[in-house]
Parts: sequence; C-alpha cells; structure tokens
Amino acid sequence: MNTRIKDTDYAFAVARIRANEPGLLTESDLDQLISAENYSSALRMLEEMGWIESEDREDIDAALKRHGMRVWELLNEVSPNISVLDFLIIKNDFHNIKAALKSFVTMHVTGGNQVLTDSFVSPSIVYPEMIKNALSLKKYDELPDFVQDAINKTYDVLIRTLDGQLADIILDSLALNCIAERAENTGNDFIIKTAELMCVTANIKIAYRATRTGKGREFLETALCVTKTLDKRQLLEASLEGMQELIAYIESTPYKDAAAYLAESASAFEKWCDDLLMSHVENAKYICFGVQPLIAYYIAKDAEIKSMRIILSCKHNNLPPEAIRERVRKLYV
Amino acid sequence: MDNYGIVLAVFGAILAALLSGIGSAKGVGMTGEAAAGVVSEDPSKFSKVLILQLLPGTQGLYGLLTAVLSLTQLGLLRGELIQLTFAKGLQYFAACLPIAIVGYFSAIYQARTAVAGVGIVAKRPDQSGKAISMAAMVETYAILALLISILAINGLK
Repeated sequence: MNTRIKDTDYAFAVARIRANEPGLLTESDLDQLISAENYSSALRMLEEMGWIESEDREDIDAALKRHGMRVWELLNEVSPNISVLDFLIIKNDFHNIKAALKSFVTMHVTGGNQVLTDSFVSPSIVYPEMIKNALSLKKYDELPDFVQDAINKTYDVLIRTLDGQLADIILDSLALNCIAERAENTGNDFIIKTAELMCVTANIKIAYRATRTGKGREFLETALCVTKTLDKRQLLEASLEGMQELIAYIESTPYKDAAAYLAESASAFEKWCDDLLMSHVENAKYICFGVQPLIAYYIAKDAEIKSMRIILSCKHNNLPPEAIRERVRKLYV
Repeated sequence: MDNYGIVLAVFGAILAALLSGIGSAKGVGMTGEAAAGVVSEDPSKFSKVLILQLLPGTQGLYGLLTAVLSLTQLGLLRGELIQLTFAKGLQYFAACLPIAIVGYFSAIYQARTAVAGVGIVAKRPDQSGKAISMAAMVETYAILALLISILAINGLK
C-alpha cells in the first residue's frame, strides 16, 4: 500500500500542531519540576501546568497514558492520512498481541475463563478488544493482516513451548520489521530515517541486553532486525563475543556516540536513544509543509511523558535534582 | 490570418485573468487551510491570520485588471471588436504574459510564505507584523509584472 501525500496537504495539520506547540514543556518548566521540594509539590506543579487534574493524584500513570492518548487523537484528527504515522505506534499493537496471547494461553493452562486486559497499551492501530475477541473465537479474519500474521507466527510456538520469552522475541522482531516496512511504504525520506533510527536503537538495545545476559546466536538471529545503517551480522557477532567487542563494534559505526553511553549504563544508553530521535526530528519546527512536524510533535510529547515519569519516580524515591537532570530527555522546544 | 490577431489578443487577456486567478485561488485556499488550523485552536487569532490569507489573493485582482484593460482596448466590452493584425495581436498576447505567469507563481510562493507566517502567529502572535511583512515581500514581483503588463498594453493603443 502506497501512502504518499503532497506536503501542502498538511497545511491545516501543521498549523494545528504549531498552535499546540506552545503547550510543550520548556527547560524552565522541567527545572521547576526537578527542583520541586518533594513528590507532592511536583504533583501540584503538574496540576498547575494542566498535565493532571487533582483527582489524578491517585493514579498518575493513568493520567499520563491519557495524555499520550490525547496526542494521538489530535494527530488522528488533523492528519490527512493517519496511516503514514502508524509506524509510531505499531509497537503498541504488538505489545497488545503479546499481552492477549499470553493471557489467552495462561487462561487455557490454568482453566480460567477470562482474557485479562490490564496490560493493554494505547494508542494502537487495532483495538485490543478486537484482538482479545478474535482469540477467544479463534476467528482472525477481521483483524488486519499484520495482526493475523503475528498471531499465526506466535500462537503455535507459545502453545507448544509455553515459553513467553520466545514469543516476546518473535513479536518484538516482527514489530521492528513492521515499523521499517510501514515507513518504506510511505516513500517519505524523513519517515524512513525516523523508522531506521527506531530500529537501529532497538537492535543495539537487544544486542546489549543479550550480551549482558549471555544469550546465544539463535536468540540474536530471531530478535535482531535488518537495518540499512547498522549491519545485523556484525552486530550479532560482536554481541556474541562480549561487551568490550560490542562497544568496539558500535564505535566503528555511524552510531559511535552510543558506545560511551553503553559503557556507562543501560539507563544512560536509553536516554541517548531518545535524544538521538529528538535530534533527528527537532528541525521539523522550521518546516511548514509536510508530515515532519506531526511526527516531531508525537515524539516530543512521548519524550515529555517519559521525562515526567522519570521525574515523578525520582521524586517518589527522594533522589537529588542532579540525578534527575541526568535522566530527563531532551526537549523539542 | 487577420482574424488570428484579435483571437490571440483576447486569449492573452483571458490568460492573464485565468492563470493569476488560479494561482490566487490555490494560494488563498492553502493559506486558508493553515489559518483554519490556528483558529480551531485559538479563535482570537482570526483577524491576524485573515490578513495573511488575503495576501495571495491580490494576484487574481491584478490579472483581472490587466484583462479588463486589454479587453476594453480591444473593444470587446463595448461589443465592437477592433481589427488587429496578427503581429499586433501577438504583441497584446505578449503584453499579458508577465502578469499571467508571474501572477500564478507569485501567488503560490506568497501563499507558502503566508502559511509559514500563520505558523508564526500560532506560536508568537505578537510577531504577526513580521509574518505579514515577509509574505508581503513576494507581492513586489507581482506588482512589477502588473506594471510591465499595463505599460505594454497602454503602449499598444
């Protein structure tokens, strides 16, 4: 399916995004939150900023999820063709497939009669309820092809082996391939590059974790996806050889900056991944026509929500402001 | 061959109104889409974005002015078409081209600048004067083209 749209068709969408951009967090907003006396005063500041309502104090996670959902609803409302942005959220669909499948298999093994829905995430392309119902009825015809394909490839493995981790690896790999494929279908260089960065950083994360936990070749063969700017074969071999070799290999690639963060810690590397994506999209604030500002806005809000979670979690654990500053993500504005 | 002269001259006049009108319609439409995006979020910015939306509309008026001037000289508006040689008709046709072509393209490029200006109004409404000035700069070339078309048509009297 080709989803090419003229850049000028985004005039309305970009203007709406521009009108919403002043609501993004600034450095001083983040500084205020980081410097908040304690968790409670951080929540009060969030209320003043309009991020949460007073009744949300009991369940901040749900409030932040709602915030993320509103961003997607805005994009859905303004975008001339929302399917070009699918690559941004398709990983949530794979998460939901994972959750539904595991819950379904557990239900069969334990003799329960209800597929749990607590771990579903949004926004997603397909309603999680649809996946849940399809699994219950074993009728997948109404599901999109990528969901059918994912269920077909994972269901048997899960039933046969009851190995949840193996199912996770298969679905994560399918998600990465799906992101790259959807991006390619748009024919938009910016989207293709964004998806490439998402896949590359995911690959490095997988290789890093595999090396730390001593996973074998078979795991990496399944879990890593093919990318244009980071060779899968070399990454796999370096990962199998050990952490020093993996870092040395990363240093020889266009992503050499990642090496220092990998050597530092997993959380430092996670931050680098998000900041890399932000650096890639930040020039979209000067673009008046095209899908770029929409993608940048979504990524900016996503980074804000991550930062918000980090700040609140650190405040909850009474970490000093310096420790929080090291963890918060780069801002768009 | 003599009839081709008047046909060519009238065709030139129509082209002036047609191309610059199409350019303006596209431009005003495109800027209108962006303006609607801002107004849907903040209706108080309507007057500021309306000025930007109107800017690419002037080329259509310049084309109309050129067409009316040509058609008046050709006698079409009085219902008495004058006789023109092929060479003279070609001169009228050429005189109408500057505003036809420059009008079309300048309207579209002015609209692109105006849309960028709408983005400025969305984020920094206090800077709307600068946004309008930037879009108005493109107008210069439409005015120059109008000037040359009018001078040429007048010279053909």
